[in-house]
Amino acid sequence: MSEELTKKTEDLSLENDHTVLSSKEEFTAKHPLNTKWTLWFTKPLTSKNENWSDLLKPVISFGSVEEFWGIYNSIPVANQLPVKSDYHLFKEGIKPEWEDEQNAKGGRWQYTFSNRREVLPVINDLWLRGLLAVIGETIEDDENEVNGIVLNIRKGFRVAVWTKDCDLEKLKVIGERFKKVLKLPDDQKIEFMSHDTFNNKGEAQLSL
Amino acid sequence: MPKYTVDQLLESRELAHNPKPDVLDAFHKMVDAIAEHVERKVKVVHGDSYIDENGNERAYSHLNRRRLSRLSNTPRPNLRKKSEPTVDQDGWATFVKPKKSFGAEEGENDKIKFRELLKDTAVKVRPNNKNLGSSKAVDPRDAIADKHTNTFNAFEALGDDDD
Repeated sequence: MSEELTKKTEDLSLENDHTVLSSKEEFTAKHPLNTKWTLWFTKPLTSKNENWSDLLKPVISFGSVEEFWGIYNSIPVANQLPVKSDYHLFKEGIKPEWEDEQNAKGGRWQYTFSNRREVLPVINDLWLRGLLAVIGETIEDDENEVNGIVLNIRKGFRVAVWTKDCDLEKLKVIGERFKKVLKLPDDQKIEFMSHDTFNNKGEAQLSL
Repeated sequence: MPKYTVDQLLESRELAHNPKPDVLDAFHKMVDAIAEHVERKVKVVHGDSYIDENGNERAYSHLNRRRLSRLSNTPRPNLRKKSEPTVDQDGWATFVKPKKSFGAEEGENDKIKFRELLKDTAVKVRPNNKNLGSSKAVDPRDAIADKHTNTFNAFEALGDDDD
């Protein structure tokens, strides 16, 4: 009996790197994410009677890898979105607004792809990589700093990772990984700004 | 709880499960409709628009014209040339209206030549009475050129000696 138990507990070892995702055959069960996420959408202004709260709406929440793909495959991809619209993917319970108390003391790492024509063929892939890095939580170690990721469709495309705090040491790791996710070369800089600085049109506090 | 790398997650794409197909379908349709609306570049003025005879949405932009300059409080500058007083030998000052360049004496010969040139080519146009005094442009179809026509005059024929 005790031998049986020992054998079973060996399989439960936390040091075991093998996950169900390592083998396609084993990937049949539901694969929960560490956090539940909510997808939000900001629609562009089409009437002067609309205000910000009319434009920003939650679309759907999910908590597993399978659900993420089911949702992603059913919604318009980044380059199909109309100008002046946004996608926001945030942890459940956090509104994608700087006024939300979880965001209020934080800021954003951001990069703008200003040449629309150039980035149009690759933006879908880059945005998807951003989403995956955030929901898989490989964009940070265990800092639990990242609140969400935002895509703004304007003349160009702006991608931003929103953080809970402005601790520059922790932010550096996130920034470096974010840059890799967006496949940016060294000469292209991403910038970090606290929400306060952003709202006051100030200078970036950190760039990588 | 496990972390999933980007590559691991990409490999699991085929296991997709749509939790709420009706919600996502409605969302997709809404985004498509917005994109179509934005593409048409309809500028909505105060949320007010109408559908024209071709089925296109149009804004009442003609109600949103610029303020007329004549309603301004600042006085408009007087651009007319003022007559200047000329003093003759006896000391009398008279106001002489400056001549317009077209009627100036030095251009008199040119004016005559120009008139001679046009003499043969000029087309006389009968005025269109219905539009006189109106700001409407004269309908060119109503204008009849004064063409030379050969007509038979019975009175002249009676007095003709040839018969």
